[in-house]
Amino acid sequence: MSIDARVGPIVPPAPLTRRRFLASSIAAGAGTAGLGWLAERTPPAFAQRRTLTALALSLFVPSGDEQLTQLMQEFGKQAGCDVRFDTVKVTDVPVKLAAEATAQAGHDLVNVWEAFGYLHRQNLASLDDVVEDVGRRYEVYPGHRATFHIEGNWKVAPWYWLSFVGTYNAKHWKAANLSLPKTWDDLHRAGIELKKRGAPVGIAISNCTDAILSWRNVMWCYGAKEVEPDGKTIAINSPKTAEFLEFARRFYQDAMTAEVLSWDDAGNNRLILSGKGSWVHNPVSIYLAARDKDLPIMAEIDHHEGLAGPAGRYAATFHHGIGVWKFSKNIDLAKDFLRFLYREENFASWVAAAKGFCMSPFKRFEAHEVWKKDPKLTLLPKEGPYTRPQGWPGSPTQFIAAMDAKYLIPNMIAKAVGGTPVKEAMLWMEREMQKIFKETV
Amino acid sequence: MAYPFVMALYFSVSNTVVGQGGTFVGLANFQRLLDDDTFRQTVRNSFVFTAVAVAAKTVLGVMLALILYRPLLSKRLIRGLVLLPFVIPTALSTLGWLWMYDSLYSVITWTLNRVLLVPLGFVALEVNWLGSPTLAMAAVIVVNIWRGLPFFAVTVLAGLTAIPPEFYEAAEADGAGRWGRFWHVTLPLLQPILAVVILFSTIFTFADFNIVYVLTRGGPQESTHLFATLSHALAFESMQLGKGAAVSLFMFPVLVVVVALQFHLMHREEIRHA
Repeated sequence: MSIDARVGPIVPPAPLTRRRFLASSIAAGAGTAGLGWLAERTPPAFAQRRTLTALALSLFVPSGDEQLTQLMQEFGKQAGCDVRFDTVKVTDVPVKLAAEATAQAGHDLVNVWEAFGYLHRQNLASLDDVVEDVGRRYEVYPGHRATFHIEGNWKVAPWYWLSFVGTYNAKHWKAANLSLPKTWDDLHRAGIELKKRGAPVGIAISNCTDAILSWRNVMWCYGAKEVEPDGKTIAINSPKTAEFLEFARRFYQDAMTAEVLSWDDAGNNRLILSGKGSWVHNPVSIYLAARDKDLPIMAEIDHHEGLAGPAGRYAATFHHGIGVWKFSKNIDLAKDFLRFLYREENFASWVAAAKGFCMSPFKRFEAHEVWKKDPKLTLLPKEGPYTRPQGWPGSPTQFIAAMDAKYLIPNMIAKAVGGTPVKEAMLWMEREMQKIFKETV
Repeated sequence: MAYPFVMALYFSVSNTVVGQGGTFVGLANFQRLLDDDTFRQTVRNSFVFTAVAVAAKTVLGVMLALILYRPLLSKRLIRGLVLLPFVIPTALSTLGWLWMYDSLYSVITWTLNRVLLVPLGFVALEVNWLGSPTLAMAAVIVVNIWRGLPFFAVTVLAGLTAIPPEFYEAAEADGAGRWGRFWHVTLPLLQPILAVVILFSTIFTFADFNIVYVLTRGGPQESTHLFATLSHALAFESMQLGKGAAVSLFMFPVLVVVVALQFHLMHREEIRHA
């Protein structure tokens, strides 16, 4: 078969006009450039500039986000790459993480906290080569290690934590001539007097995150726990839990009002800022908001150290970190950025910009100026050694995340304060945990 | 259009966990949901929420449309203002309601408690809108009615303007009073449009998310969880994508029945007119 037969009849070429010549030249040029690009399997020069992207929740203190943006831009200049830092509402982060993990595409660096490190561990690159060195130089607190050192590797780089301390209105305490509490029982006794004077204390007993954190904190101090260290053996049904629930019931009846049953995460902020409340358990955002807006109540708000219970002193918090997706095309670049962020002067500048709201995960920064400048914040770094991950003494696994998604702890307490016998409330939580266990472990 | 639905179907019969994949588990997710107290509570909540809200929106919507149909001063301005709840983003307007329900700062709560209940000795009846299961459900229903009412009113108003005035004149000549004209002329002629509005509203109300998410997050003690909020909690907070998808698909047969019923009614109406 001749070549002509294979390609069909020969059609005489159309006369070459100037317009046809230009069109053909442009098409050929574009085609050659495109084919060359494909043949060499390297992107053209204009597409080779990489973009490092990061996703985090919007901080309560915007200056912290602004400083991180500046640090990323500085890193971009040095590394010869573009950068993009996206911040979203805290409630949107889990959805974004889920979408990116499912699509296996998205940002390079992602802000994760507590169970999200464990949940996404299979999609997160090991950061041992970054964090081991930083840990040696700065000394990581145990809470962050327990949260992000997962199955033998640093899956998430420690970033910050939030200090849940006692926030009180000094005016009410002085008027009642009460000294500051050291234990939860001290607070209960003081709360009785404060409530009589119309200045109740408050911890949310509702479907909000603060309720989970604060009550888990108290629970640990009473020796109660949800699981054993293996993270699988359910341990909520115990005399310690019963003791904790009895305390919670008395504390609610004697020192709080029913308002706590409807609080969202800003409920405790509102109680203190209204001037009516005498004490809440919260990060220092209430004071910082009053200070930034120069509210008169700022002078009356102060903080005291975490409280102890019969089993000791513990602090539940959110340990925040930065992970690098395994499917990121810029893993090395992302790790270089983390090394850049962890340079002492850079990390210190970010801590300063976060105004003391975000606590350093490293002992080295305990002495940072940001907590020395304001006497009402000096105690905060001392809380570091007491923090534990959600689900402690187990790990913050999917089991714990699923429990928290159903607000089991606040709901168990709501039952107890609403008249359900303590034993029955405890058994309810145990049954719920057993059901979740079957599905998640 | 089909892709998200097919994916949801696939997730619902798998034990997919976000970021970890999953395997086919058949109807196990649905079986587990039926044994779950929270889910059963959610089913009850969803039906109560939808039934009460849609019924109230229907009655109030027709009433509002009749008011707007009458000659009014600044008619256009009033009609525009009525649409406001429907136009403002739900999450934003619900934040306004959150303040109105607040236990500490709300003028409504304060007035009820400090001016009425406490001085009259009803201390035990002090209102805490979002803290009691019954009041919290009432609170989220009220916001849904407030938001959905303009949709009903404006659509019914369009239906009212389409009724030929001769019908009313004939009814009046036959001795029908105001109530008789409404019952025998307005309502029968509004039926087709009401069927469509109720159909859409039932679907939207059943699938509501923002109002509950902003106001109560499903609390207190799961008393206000709807399918959408429970599905979100399971899929994105506890990462059980499979179970979360199963919750959202539980709504599907119910909505199919509602749609089929409405279409049947509309079809019957068409035949009757023909």
